[in-house]
Amino acid sequence: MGDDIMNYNGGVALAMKGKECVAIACDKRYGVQNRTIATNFTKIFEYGPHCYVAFCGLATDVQTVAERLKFRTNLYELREQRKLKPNVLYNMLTNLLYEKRFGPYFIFALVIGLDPKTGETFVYDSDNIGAISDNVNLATVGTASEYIFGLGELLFKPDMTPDELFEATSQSLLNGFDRDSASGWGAVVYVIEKDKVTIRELKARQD
Amino acid sequence: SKQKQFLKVKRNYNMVKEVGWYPYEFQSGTTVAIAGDDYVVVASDTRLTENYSIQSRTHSNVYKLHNNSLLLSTGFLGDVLTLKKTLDGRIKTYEYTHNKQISTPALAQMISIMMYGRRFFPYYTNTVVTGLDNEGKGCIFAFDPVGSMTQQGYACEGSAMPLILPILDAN
Repeated sequence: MGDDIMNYNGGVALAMKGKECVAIACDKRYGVQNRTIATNFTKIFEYGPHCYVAFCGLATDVQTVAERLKFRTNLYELREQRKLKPNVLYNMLTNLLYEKRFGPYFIFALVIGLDPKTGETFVYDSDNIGAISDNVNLATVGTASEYIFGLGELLFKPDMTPDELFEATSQSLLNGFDRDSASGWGAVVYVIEKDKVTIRELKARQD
Repeated sequence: SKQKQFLKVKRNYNMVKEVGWYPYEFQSGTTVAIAGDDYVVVASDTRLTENYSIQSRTHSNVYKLHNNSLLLSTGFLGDVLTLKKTLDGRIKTYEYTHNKQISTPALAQMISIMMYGRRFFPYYTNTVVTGLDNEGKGCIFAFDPVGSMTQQGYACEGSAMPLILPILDAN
């Protein structure tokens, strides 16, 4: 039952680390079981100049959690008069999810960030009740997560440049979700560096 | 009388609460095969499990068949071993009746029919049979648990199939 809910809308996201850069990528499919409804549903949301979160799972919860988290981060910025750091965002998200421990949101989350002064990179992932992970090199969520993990582990190298990171992320994502019928229909990759964020759309199999 | 009619009503409260015995067990394991011009490379892990316990660390999923084809089989070990035993017997029978060794494509067809013969109580295995075809080129045949056969250039089955398959696709 729980498994069916997580596969109801489909979708997948991947995050990888490089040298003073991080990349996050997701597909663009929005479907209802085996029917595709839209091909412009990206699952990545921005919460700060160098903080991005991707949510995968039930689409209604993707939107709700994105908005509720935005509410909390807006209040934080107003009160503290400063922008969020990635680990603060992550703790806020896991707290939000654990509040619904016995009636959870059906999403899995990825949080990435970069500290623009030190270049320190952060990639975290969370399950749907807010289990905290370490700062990992590679994380995937969604219906095709296992497919992407295999290639991701193979293509990952420590300290990649932004271009190498983009290549590794795109190849893992594209080849991975081609094997999954609930993900696909195009992809978006965000590469975050200290001074800029590059957003690229990938051409993928339109099925 | 009205009382007798009332007593005739029977309600059946038999509900199945849990399955007493389940005939299959998933014992994990992964196999990979890649075909080349005159060879096939196969690989397998060596872990055999039952839920989260490890039953063996040295159990390979590659079995050598009597005609020098390789059988790669994961899933339920009881069915894997029975399949291999039955196949060896059928291969020998073929040799005795046809006076030659069975070729890999013919063996694949035989496996497909054998497995569909058990359509209503299947061999719970993901099998791949590899060998050289009649021209000496490497060939790989993959089957689902009821014998649906496809010839492929590369195959990957088992618990790590989702992780390895995209790597084979990409290259």
